[in-house]
Amino acid sequence: MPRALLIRKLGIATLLLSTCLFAQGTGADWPSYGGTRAAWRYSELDQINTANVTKLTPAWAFQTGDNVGGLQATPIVINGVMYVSTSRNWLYALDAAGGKVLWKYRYGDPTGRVPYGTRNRGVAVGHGLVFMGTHDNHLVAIHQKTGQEVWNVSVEDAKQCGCNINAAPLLVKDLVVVGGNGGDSAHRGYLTAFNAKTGRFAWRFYTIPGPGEPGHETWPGDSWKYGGAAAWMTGSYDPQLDLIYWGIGNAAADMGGDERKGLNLYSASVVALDPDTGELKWHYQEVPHDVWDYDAAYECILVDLPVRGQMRKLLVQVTKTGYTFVLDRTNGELLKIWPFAEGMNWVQGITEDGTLVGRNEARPGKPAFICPSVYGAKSWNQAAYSPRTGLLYTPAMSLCNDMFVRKQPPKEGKTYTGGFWRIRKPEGLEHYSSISAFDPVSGEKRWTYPYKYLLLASVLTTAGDLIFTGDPEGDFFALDARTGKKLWSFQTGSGHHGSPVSYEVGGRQYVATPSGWGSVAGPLLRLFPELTEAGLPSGGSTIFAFALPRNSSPGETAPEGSP
Amino acid sequence: MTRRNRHLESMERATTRACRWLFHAGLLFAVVGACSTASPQGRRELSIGSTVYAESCANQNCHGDQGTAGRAPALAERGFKREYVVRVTRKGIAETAMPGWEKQLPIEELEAVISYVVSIQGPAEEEAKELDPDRPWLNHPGRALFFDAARVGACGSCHLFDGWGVPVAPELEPPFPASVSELRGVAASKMQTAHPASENPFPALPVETSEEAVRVYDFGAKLPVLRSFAANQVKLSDGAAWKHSDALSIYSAQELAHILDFLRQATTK
Repeated sequence: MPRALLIRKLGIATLLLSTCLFAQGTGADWPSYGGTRAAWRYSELDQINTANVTKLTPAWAFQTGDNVGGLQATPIVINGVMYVSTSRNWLYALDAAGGKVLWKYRYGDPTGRVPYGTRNRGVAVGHGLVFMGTHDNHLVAIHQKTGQEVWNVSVEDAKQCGCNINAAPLLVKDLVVVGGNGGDSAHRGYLTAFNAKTGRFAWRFYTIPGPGEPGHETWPGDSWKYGGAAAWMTGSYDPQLDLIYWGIGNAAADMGGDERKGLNLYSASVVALDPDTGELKWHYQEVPHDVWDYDAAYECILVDLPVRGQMRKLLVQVTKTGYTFVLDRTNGELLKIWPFAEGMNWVQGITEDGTLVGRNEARPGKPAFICPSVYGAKSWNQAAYSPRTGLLYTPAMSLCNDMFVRKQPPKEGKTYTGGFWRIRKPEGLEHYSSISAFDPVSGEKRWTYPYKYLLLASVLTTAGDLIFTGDPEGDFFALDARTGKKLWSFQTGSGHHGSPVSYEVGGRQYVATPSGWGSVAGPLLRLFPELTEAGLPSGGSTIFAFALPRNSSPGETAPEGSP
Repeated sequence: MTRRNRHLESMERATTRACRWLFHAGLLFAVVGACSTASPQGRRELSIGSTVYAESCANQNCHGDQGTAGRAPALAERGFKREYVVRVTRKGIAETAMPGWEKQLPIEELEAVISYVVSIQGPAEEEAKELDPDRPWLNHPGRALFFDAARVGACGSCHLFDGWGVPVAPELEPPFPASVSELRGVAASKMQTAHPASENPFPALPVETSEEAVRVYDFGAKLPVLRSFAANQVKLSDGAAWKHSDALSIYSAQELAHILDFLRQATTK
């Protein structure tokens, strides 16, 4: 579809949006991890829509060959080129219209144990470079046209910190910002910014304040040195406020709270930083003194919406806890908390001002049955927001665990859980996960797509009023964004644990998804013996791209009732 | 030869062992017909063990799916003897994250998960090695300073020592500088100055120079960056403005004295 036509078709929605900050959406590309740096996972393309999605057909497939640990990436697509990273940091530039390899870059494979497993969730592209965090805690910059390595920096010795990088970096102005794993190790979390062109160190924000800094008093003794609080996913950026937002992980030792009595700032918090200096502008701690492994590390969705009649700049975070936090992103003020899951028992409730009521904690010698489990009521797989429907689409799952506290001294870089856990599948549920549509401010639920096992792929939404995601049995499917009705599906041959995207090349819209089961949550499926007995889910590492058949006439591709 | 290929070879020699491997690889349908030697009870036990393993051992990046490791060591293909697996599974390992499970799991589940871990051992090729031999200087304050995670640009971000750190600068070997001032004054004889075509010159440690490419460590910031240039895009000249003492400015004299003492102790035979 020509650009002019596309823009006309986007019509009123685009006009409405043009007054707001995020008018520069994804366009024909998928330029950033979350679509844009507002993390909506929303594509403005509508050639594929509710009226024609049943005709969607595979356009191409690309097998990466890296079948270790599944394929968790969000492909980045810019000007018809797709950049996709595999679990062991193999990086491909592909012709996004045909799947042909333009170049490949292969970072050295792991030689020993990889602290948080071999997996990679994606790259950032800009300044003529492709940026990728590695399994041994390096950040590399690859020439966007040639695939040659341009720079390579060790963020910190992976053996010492017991950490590595799975997350996609975030580009902000001249800097590339990256977090890392390490929140369940005796390690002090941080975000680091490097000059994008040279790789030179710019700043580091420690997620745990050091001696003399405000908040240090929330960590007794030496506990601040080993308190975890890893920034292990990708943050967001608001260019107008010039702030970056990042979700910060759980405190360590995960269950051993007695050695770190206090709030444990900024674990389980959202932080807002000055992108030029890394200086903290505000924070909001969602889980004070976390003892449940409830990271607040997930995506920060930036939307402008009315709250109690007044337009506000919001940050919406759907978290492990089973609750969604709605903050004012100018100052971190809590505006709303609403539950998106059911069956939580870690607290009896949370008051309007964010106070946890009736904490349910395991104690030494006294285990506790806690819901949700350490995997969270939502795992890292991302939610999506559509400005057309005004709805937030989030995955959720229902697992619990027995938690046991066990005294453990910290050893730098070593696993530091202060206890252990056993995942428990609540018996008798018909469905153990779902995708649901919510009003992002009120939390009012509009529809639910239930699923028997565990949905662990991110959600994509498009201007065609569609939702795309995949399941562990291999089906990649489309739902109607307004009703949740399943409209289309395709069996890709391996489970879905990555993030689908949409883009346009030469007037043709594509929806592309990673397919390939694996990783830390992979074994969870073994809790469902019928899947194991069926040999599911099988591993793999493939990108599938779908499009409408080329012979579709323009009339057939027009959305029903499009503006 | 890959581990998996070794397994495939051993399959031909030892059907039972191969069946176990196929079993833990999840190829149930493939083995039910072919592996008549595995008893139904054995298969059932391994199936329970596999589930208990997924609930309790694999999760949250610990031992990983099928024992392939994460934060905790790999359990697959380690050549662990059954007695060892029994002891560690029951009692745990003191002062580590490994708990004892004997009071947490019903006896049949405990035995099942032990059998499962034993089943993924593969051929017993070598005894399990001790992972972390006790070295008396591991708690030396100088070591903590050398690898201080709270300071960007600590010694370990440039020097490899005892298998830790980042191998950028030359390996550290005795004799070490006799004093702190000597340490500060260590001449960086290999350091040069890079003159890229389109940016300011920077102190550079050459890694590779060929007709096509030049790779250098850029010492223009606190962490060394390995940078690659086309040979015609950069020139190197002798000498650099960079001094070892600049990098050491994050430490006090007393701290540097601790570091020197640590290096000496750790290399004393």
